[in-house]
Amino acid sequence: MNAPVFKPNTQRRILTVDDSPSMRDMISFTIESAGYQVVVAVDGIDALEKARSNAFDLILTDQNMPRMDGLTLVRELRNLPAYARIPILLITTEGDDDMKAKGRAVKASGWIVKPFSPQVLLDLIARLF
Amino acid sequence: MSPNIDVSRFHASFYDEAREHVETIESLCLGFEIRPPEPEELDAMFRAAHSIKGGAATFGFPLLASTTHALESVLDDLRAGALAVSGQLIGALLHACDVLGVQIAGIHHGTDPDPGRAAELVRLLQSFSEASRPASSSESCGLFEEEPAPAPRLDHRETTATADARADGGSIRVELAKLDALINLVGEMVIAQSMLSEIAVGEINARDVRFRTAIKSIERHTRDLRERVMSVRMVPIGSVFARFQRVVHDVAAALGKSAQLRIEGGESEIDKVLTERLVDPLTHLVRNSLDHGIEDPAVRRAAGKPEVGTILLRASHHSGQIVIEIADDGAGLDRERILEKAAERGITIDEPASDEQVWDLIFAPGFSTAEAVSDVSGRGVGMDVVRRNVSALRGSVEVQSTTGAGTRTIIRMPLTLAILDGLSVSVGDETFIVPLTAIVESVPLSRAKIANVHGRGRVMEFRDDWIPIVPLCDLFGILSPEVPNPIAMVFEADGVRAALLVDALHNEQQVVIKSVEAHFRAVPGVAGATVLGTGRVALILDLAGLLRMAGFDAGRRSGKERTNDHA
Repeated sequence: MNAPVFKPNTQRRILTVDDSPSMRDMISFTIESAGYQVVVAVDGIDALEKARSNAFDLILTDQNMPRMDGLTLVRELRNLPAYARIPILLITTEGDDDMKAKGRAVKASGWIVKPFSPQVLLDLIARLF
Repeated sequence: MSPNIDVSRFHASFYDEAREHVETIESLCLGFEIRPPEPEELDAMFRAAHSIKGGAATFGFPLLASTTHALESVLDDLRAGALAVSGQLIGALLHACDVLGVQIAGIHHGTDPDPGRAAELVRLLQSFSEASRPASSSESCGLFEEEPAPAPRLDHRETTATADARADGGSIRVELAKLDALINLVGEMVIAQSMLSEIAVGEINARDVRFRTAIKSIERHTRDLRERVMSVRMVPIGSVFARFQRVVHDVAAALGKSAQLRIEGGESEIDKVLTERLVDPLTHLVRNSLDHGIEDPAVRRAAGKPEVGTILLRASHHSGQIVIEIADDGAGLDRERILEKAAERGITIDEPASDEQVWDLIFAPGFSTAEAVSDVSGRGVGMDVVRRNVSALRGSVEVQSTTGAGTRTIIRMPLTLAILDGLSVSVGDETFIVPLTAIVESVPLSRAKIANVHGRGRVMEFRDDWIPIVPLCDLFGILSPEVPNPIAMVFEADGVRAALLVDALHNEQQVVIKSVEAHFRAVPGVAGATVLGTGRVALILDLAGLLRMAGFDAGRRSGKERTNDHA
């Protein structure tokens, strides 16, 4: 038997939001295998509902989604007292200045550009915790 | 911890997803031919391309990512209003869907994409797009200066989230093979349960209330379980219908006709396995409607019809079956032409024949009204094959037509192939299951009017017609002593009515179908097998197959005045 690679009592909970099942699988697999606990949401609306009824240490959201996009989700979350200071990372396909300005304006904590490797994502998360 | 994650484990899921996105783009695109695009549709199209691009880059398909990037640029311009929808643009977008489709199929089959074809497509797309946007910048991630202070640790006392963790918006993807295994197991359990119930009837313990209650509750739960498990495999038929947007577009274009597809009842559910097997018959019928039904635009205008013809695909549920209609507002069937053609082919019909009987002739083997074998529907496949395909799915096909107003083909099918409502009948020592939907009526042979027709065996009068009697014991070589009062069970298969001679009728029951072919080999006249509550195996009859064995199939029409040369 292998010893568990993480201690469950220190498990941080991450909400990952993406409309693409394969991206969701990839991201949740990556962060779960690094010992975090994952909850997934399929778009901004779903994420808001889950964020209201649960507590998270970090939220990772895709930008381009149906119903409610990532930027709107960040703005909505920042209006909720519980999420005013929780780190939120925006996952986008565009890493240009325009997108960064928009991200900063809605008070996102950081950004990550697709495609990214699982390791890059984990490194960025590690910088937050 | 630095997990070394192999992204190829996500390829299957990306493949499914990318295919759906291409279908979305394609069907939206086809919609733009009929009416101008709505902003939400353009957004949805852009998002679909965007998702393919993001996934392709992430999961290691650079060519797919760059091809989709070019498509995305065009869609972005379209969405921003910088580009207008034109026939040329729709053509280019559909071409893009084809090229992407091939590349995505390559992910599944593990084949490398064709860079030449991709480059050609990119050039075509770039000729529409104002300026090609650069792909994403090199700076891949970072934190903004106003980074919030690390959050205080959370109190997790109230967490309930593990239950909905990894929920996929209320659904998950499951491999079909896993579901099949589950259905198979449930089938075994249903058999075991019915054996148990059967045994319980004869048991002394059956008087014990607790024992009886337990048996009853196993019975009920098994039935519920089976229904639930079956429902998992049900998918909306709209997923099949949607692909005909493209068929209608391409075929109409090839024929120089103008047609649109309307879909109704796409939410009606049907076994996933059936959806795949419906594609061929539906394709044939839709092509037929376009080729023979919908007239040339000039003819339509002259007839006072809208130039754009309409093909309707409609599904509905009706008494435990799914009813699929393929209708067109074209010219309708030509009675004289069909009769002429039938005569040429040596297919006879009783005169005077109703329209219904005449239309049914098109299902006869080798029948085709096309003047010349066209590229579109003349693929060596006739309506007889459509009927055979549908009856292999235990369904039926019929045609209704009004000259000048159009043709409607109606397919009725069970919702699933896994279970069957059947009637058990016995011949000699054997028990057989007859699909309930095929049975018209059962009468004691003694009460029926019988005649002998030279070379054709016995026929029986039924509702003012003479129908052949199929002697099951002869076909299957069953030695059965003459029973005092045999029963003629009248059934309909492949549009032909006949009577099956059996010794006795037993009970109606739902049976779990087991493939005979998979465990033995295909047996003519046998659709499958099931295990009865007694533990005995009963064969499920393939009535259309029995008709073919007996030589009474659709190619040789019924009849009292049969004088044709079929031996």
